Amino acid sequence: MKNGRNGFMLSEQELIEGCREGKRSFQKALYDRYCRKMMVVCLRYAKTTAEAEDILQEGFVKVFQGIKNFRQESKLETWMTRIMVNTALNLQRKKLYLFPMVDVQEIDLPEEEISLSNVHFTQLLELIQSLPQGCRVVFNLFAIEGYNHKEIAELLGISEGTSKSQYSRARSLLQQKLLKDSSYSIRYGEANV
Amino acid sequence: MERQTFEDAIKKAFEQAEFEPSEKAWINIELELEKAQGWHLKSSIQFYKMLAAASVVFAIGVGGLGIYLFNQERATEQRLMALMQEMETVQQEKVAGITNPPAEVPPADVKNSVSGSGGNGATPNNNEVALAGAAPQKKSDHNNRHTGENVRKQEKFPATVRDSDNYPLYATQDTRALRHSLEFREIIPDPYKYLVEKYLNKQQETPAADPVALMLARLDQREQEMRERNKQDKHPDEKFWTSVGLAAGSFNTVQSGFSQTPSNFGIASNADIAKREAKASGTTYSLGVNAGVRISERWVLQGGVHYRSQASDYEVPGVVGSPDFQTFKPASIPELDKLSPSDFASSRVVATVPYTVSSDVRYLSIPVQAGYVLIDRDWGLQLNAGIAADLFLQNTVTAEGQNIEPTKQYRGDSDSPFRPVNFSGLLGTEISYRFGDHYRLSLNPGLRYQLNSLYKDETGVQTIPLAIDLGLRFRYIFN
Repeated sequence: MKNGRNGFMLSEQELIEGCREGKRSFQKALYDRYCRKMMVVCLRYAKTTAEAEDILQEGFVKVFQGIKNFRQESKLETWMTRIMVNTALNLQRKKLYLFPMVDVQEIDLPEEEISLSNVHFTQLLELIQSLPQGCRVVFNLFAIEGYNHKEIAELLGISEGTSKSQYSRARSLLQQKLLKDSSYSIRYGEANV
Repeated sequence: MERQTFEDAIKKAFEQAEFEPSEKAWINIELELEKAQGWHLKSSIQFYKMLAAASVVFAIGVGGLGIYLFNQERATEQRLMALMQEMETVQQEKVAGITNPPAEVPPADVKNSVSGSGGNGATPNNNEVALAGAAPQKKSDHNNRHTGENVRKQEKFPATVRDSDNYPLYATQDTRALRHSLEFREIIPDPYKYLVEKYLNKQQETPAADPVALMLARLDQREQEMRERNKQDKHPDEKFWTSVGLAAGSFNTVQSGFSQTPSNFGIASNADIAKREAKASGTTYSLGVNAGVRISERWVLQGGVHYRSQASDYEVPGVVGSPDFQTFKPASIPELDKLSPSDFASSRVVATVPYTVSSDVRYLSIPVQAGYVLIDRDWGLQLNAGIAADLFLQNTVTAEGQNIEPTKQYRGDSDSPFRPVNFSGLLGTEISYRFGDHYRLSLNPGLRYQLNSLYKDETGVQTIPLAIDLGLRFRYIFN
């Protein structure tokens, strides 16, 4: 199995077993299967593509080193996503230490409905990446990863109130940016991928 | 509700989203994984190094202690022997005094002996004097011929001894009878203590019995004990043996260098690559058979035939292409050594990002060692030193995880940069345990220092590795 693309023929279980044995071809196959999805996760937390690739590389190394301990209680993709998020948070924590998050005044949400039906995810990514550091992390964790504010507060070592206010700010900024851009339609809906 | 809808829309937007990372992402991941593997390997090598070093230190410590104790015991024995000799001299002088007693004060015992000696009027012989005092019971028949007074005196032996302070009774010929006599024990219940107090601690005390006899008794007893112990512990039957064994460890290049020669154009033009290979350190393992013979009580001679491998990983920033550039091999000393100036004109050496290669050099090793046995019991300890002739067999340079052909070099290849024969100095210890009549299992921590460079002089590359390994040997003893 010299070409990693052949790894798409393998089942997830076979991939896991091969990676557990440390076989490089299986690791490559696993990488080929999930790297694009994981890259999106990393991009959401990073400011630049290069930063996202750093997270991706570190995350995959942790995946291959930790797959022996993967108990398969969740889906492989979910487990890998959690590793990528944790890796991103570890890197973000260093930055958050330098620029700590503080409570911000909650911004009133705009009344208009915003549709994402014609929004490509890369445009959304750009918008998320343009958010301030703290807002971006809290937004990702709450809106996409599905953590609640209490969990986010514990994860980032901030107060629950700070998490809520940061999220509110992020959401508001995003909506404002979406409204500003005339290319986005004014109703909620599906985004193009 | 509205908020939930916004979050759902965002989540959905990313659900099937994919973004292709750059090609170098996987290369970096692979490099990181290899580094991590290398770290694990280094950790385990470090552990074995520490274990080997600890074994060597332990063996030297035990050996030193053994030598110290052995010397101490020897010194005590020598001291006792010296004392014994001194006392024998004194004894001879005193016996001479008895045979020619002072005329003015003749001692009672001598007088009695003289009177009971058959009336020949001659001086009693030494043996009779000794036996009279030393073993009166054994000489009862002899005593029966004596007068009643003599018999009474013989039966009261302790009193006799006390009465004869000026001329104590000596055992000269028949000391064994004296040693085991009941009277002997009655006079001095603990002869050894008496001797130590009297002669080793230099305490002044009037002897109640003959100290020479006591000394002889004690020495004889001790000699017997030692003989018994040696019989139980030593294995003089271990004269010839054979063994199988394996060893694993690591090697470090302690000396490496590069110099230009008239014929090393290829290597000189890529000195950086050659130096990386020359400096590389790694792991070593060997397996083989040995035979040994005991040439004296403490010295043994051992030899054998081993298959040995020295493997190292290092990074190389280039490949060497075939003349038609259809295949590529890792840029290594054997490949670079084959290049001519015209090959450089066609740029057969192509620079790449550094990648890891593994070099494995294999030998047939013939070691000959002399060993000094420090402890020769069920548990054995031996120090070994010797020399080994290493016959080069093969070298393989493989690029890990790359589609690059390996480079192979065999014994007998005319263009091989490796010396066909190398010599190494060996130093080691052997901690062993004997079980059964024929078997001994041993742990062999050792050092191997190569006495000449791995590569031929004309390559200009010098590499001298020092290896530390830990071996396990299973010995069969021919009785």
